[in-house]
Amino acid sequence: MGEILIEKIENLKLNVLEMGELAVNMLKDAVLALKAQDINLAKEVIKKKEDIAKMDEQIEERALRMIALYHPVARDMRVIAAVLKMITYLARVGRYAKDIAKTAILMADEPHASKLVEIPYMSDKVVEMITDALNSFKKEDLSYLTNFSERDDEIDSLYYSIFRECLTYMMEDPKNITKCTHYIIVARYLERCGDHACKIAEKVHYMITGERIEIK
Amino acid sequence: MLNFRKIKDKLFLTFIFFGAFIALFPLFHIIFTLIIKGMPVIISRGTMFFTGTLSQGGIGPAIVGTFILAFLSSLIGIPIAFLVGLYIYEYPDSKVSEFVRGLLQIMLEFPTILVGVFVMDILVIPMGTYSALAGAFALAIIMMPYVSVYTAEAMRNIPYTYREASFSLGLNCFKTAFRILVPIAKRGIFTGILIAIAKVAGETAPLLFTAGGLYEIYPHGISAPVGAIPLLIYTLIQSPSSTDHATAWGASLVLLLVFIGVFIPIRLSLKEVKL
Amino acid sequence: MRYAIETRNLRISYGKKEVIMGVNFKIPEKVVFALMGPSGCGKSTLLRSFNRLLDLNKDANVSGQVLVFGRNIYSDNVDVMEIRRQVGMVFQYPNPFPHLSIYENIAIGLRLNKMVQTKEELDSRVKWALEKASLLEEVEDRLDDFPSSLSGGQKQRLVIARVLAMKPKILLLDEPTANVDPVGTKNIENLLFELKKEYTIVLVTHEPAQASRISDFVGFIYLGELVESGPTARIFENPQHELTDRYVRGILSIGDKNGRNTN
Repeated sequence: MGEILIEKIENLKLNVLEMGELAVNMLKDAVLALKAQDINLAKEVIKKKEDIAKMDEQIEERALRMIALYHPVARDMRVIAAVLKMITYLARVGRYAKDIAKTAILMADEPHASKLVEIPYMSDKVVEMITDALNSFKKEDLSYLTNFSERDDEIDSLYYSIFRECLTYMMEDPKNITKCTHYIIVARYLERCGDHACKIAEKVHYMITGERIEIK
Repeated sequence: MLNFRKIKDKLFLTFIFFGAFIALFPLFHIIFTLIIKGMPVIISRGTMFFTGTLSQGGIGPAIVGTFILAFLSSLIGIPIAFLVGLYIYEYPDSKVSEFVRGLLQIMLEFPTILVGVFVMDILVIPMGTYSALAGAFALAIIMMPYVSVYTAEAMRNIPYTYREASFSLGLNCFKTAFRILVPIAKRGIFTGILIAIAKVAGETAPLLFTAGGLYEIYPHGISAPVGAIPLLIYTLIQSPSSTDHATAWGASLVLLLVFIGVFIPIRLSLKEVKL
Repeated sequence: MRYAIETRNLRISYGKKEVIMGVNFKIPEKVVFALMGPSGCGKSTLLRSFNRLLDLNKDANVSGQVLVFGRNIYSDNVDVMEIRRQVGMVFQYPNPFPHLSIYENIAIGLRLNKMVQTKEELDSRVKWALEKASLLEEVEDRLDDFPSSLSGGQKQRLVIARVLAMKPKILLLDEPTANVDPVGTKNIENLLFELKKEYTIVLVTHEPAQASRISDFVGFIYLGELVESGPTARIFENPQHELTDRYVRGILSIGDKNGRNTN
């Protein structure tokens, strides 16, 4: 009977990885849409939010059913516990991607200020972190999670540097206020996605080792 | 193809029925003959058949003798045999146990007439007379292996878990055996005793040189001779008188009835042995 | 801390075959300690060494120590029967004595062990035991009936009452619900949960879920060895040993002989 559950858990993991891929792609596309001022791409990202919400719901339902029917314990239980939290975090990443896409549409008419150069870099770093956390989940391998604390620190300092530079621009010329406010908000979204990547990493660590850690 | 199989089936069934019939035929024939030949004798002589002495045309002393012998032999044989049965159940692996079990096997198969000869040698000759005691003694020797084996078997049939339960309450070997296990097995043990008595009540050979026979007066002491129904039948058949032969048929029917009288309770109690 | 039962390098063999290979247990007082593991791995044998019921099997050899409240029950001057009264046992097949009434089943142990003096004492002890085993209400108007009229679960509670009447300190239960229907099982599990306030309970179970439901500590026995033991919550959330992990998840096949640790 345990084998049936194991198979179902493998499928559940695949579902989560699918959702993760979707979230990551949404984030990448949203920032790309922002940089390239591509309204169509932005609209596609916004549409995909529905898909990711549906995945959240379906995976949760499946996981809860497994608990009711199979009373999982030990490793099986920890995987399901990780899954239930991860889908929440990934759904949030998807929502932030949608919000960034909406911002992209708002900023599509006017040219960008130079600060945008930092946002794509920050986005790449965040995407790397989420991808590594998902790989760690897929392969049940802790090595992907080393340095997460330092990487999170890097994301935080990137946010603050964008924040300060935008302040400078806003003080220089009031016409920059709208633009720079949007940049700060987008950077803020990316920083939150980085936090979620850390939370996912914490859950994966618990899944593999049974120990709860905190990444700060 | 199907038809051939059906025919084979029918043939086989017929063959079995036929075989069973042949096997049971003698039994039915005996019962039938005894009733046909014995009933008229009993009816014509009435209750006197059961209460009168031989010259009065009755087998009263023989009936009483059979019961006395059954009773005495049980008294002598059962207690020891019961304890032996318990011993071989409780200590199945000891050397003594193995030896005793072998001995019991021999006793079960031993020619009963030799038992009679043995008892004649040690009791009848020193006492100088045939006696109920000697007869009972011979019957007891024949009865004992049955009681021992049935006792041990009945005990062995008790599920092991009751033994464990009893010991786990802090009871020792004796209390467990006598206060818990034997009462559980009592039906099986009792059945074994009945079977042994039934066997012994119908024995003739061991009584030939021990009991002596007593049919004109009622039994009057254990060191005096005594009669028994099978022994009487044996004696009467050899007589030239046809009255005696008639008496023999009547006695045979009575013996059959005694046998059935013991046999039915055995069957009933066997059915009820449920744990 | 005093342990109710402690074993030190306990080895048990039947003839040449070693069944329990050097196990070291520490079972605290007034808890439910579950022994779980696949069938045939020695759990029942191990349990029977805790009250020396193993003595009944002449092929069994025991070496090492079994300490009950600090005293080695396998040392020389030990009153085996007293131990068995202190460490009571309930079996896999509900086995109230079939030829005795419900009342007599409990009374007989008391009588034969001379544990009560008067009829009143006997009466009150029998009723007390039935009450403790949550059975009194169901049978009090038919104490002279025979156990055959009881359900499996009730029979088992009668057996528990029979044991409790001896006023033991430890209860050993060998797969007590293996032959009981689900409702009866539930009743017995609830009863054990209550009883652990006063008694130390060692429960052999063939079902890890039962261990997770009602035990405080768990020991996993596999092929005669104590693979892992500890608080139930930890064993079921994060077992340390690979074999334990596979067993609780239901994927251990009897041929496995893996010694790897998960961490």
